[in-house]
Amino acid sequence: MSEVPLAVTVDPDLKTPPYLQIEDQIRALVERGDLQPGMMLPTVRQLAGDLEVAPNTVARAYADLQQDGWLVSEGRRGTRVAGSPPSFDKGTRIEALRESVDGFVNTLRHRGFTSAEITAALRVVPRQ
Amino acid sequence: MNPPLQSNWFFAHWPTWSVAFYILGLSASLLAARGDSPIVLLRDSYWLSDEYALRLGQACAVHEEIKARPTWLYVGAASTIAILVVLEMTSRIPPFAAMALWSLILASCMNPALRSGRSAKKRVAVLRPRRTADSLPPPWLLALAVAATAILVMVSASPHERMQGFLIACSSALIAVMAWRFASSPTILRGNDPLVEECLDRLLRFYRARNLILLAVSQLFFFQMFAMQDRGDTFTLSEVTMRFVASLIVDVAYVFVLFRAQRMLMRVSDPRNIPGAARRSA
Repeated sequence: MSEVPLAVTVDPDLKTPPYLQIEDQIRALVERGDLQPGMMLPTVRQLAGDLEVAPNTVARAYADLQQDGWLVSEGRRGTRVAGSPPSFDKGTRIEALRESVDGFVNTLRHRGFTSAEITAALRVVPRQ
Repeated sequence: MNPPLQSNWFFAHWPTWSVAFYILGLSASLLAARGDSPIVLLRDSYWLSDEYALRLGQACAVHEEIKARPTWLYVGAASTIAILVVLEMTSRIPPFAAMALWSLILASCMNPALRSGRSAKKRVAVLRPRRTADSLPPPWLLALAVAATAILVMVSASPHERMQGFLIACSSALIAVMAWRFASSPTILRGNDPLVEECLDRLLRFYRARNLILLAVSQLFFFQMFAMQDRGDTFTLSEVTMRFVASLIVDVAYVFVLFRAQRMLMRVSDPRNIPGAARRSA
């Protein structure tokens, strides 16, 4: 059994809605390979109880991840990590990265930062 | 001159003494234990690695912080049990009623308000499916159901025992429901070391559910023991046979649950069965 703590957290103080927090963390765990293809996930009821959120919140996160091909539902038996999740497709990974960077850069532009400032900051981050 | 004490008097009240000692002894041990026995077994195991022992100690400290400590609950339970023993010994309430009431009081205490201490902003969950049957195996519930049915069959021929048997069976069923609810309740994690915290949660969940089931089946066992004493002269041979068979079934169920629960306790507390807990070499 894995010794890696495969845990998800929900922080109600964050602006990100709880279902997105769950979604992002599960996706990241699959991308990193901590959650292996075929691994069984907790039931909606169990995860909702542990995280103290409504079952609909977890159900929505699971549904979104299923729709994107990260998870597969096996009816009453539960939910598994998909046999070939999108993270293993290099093109999809690059596209997802580009989308995230676009969103991030747009937010910074709205806050008044210039392209030169953003590029300079991004160059420093990897070194840190 | 005072009449000499007759030893018959003591033995005539044997069920009363037995129930009183049973209530006092077991409640004292269960209230004192507060459900950390598997942790002690794990901590004292030769196979536990030093690193895991350290992490376990930290997780235990975190669990103590999270766990609500309803002292009033323990004080209230202990006082009620003491009153119950006095009432039972002075024959104000029958032994079977004292036993049923005591079991229900203790069962309620063994499942204290753990949730109330869980108000941390950040909530953590481990992504590992959990089955209620891992903490409360269905064969235990089946054995309990068989024992309760045997009690009901046993008292069906005796009108004055019918209500007693029914109440004891109901009390056992209620405790089984509590055990099931407890075994399927959510985890309580702080998230500092989710893996060890989840292991601790699993051990305590199993231990408390096990204690509740043992409590439920032991009251059936004690009831049949006392019911068997009161055979009376009015029973026919077939009725006595039926009581004997029913009693035997309860005994077997009791021993089965006791034995399996102990074996499982040893298994779940063994570091070699916990991921990352065992030392690498002997």
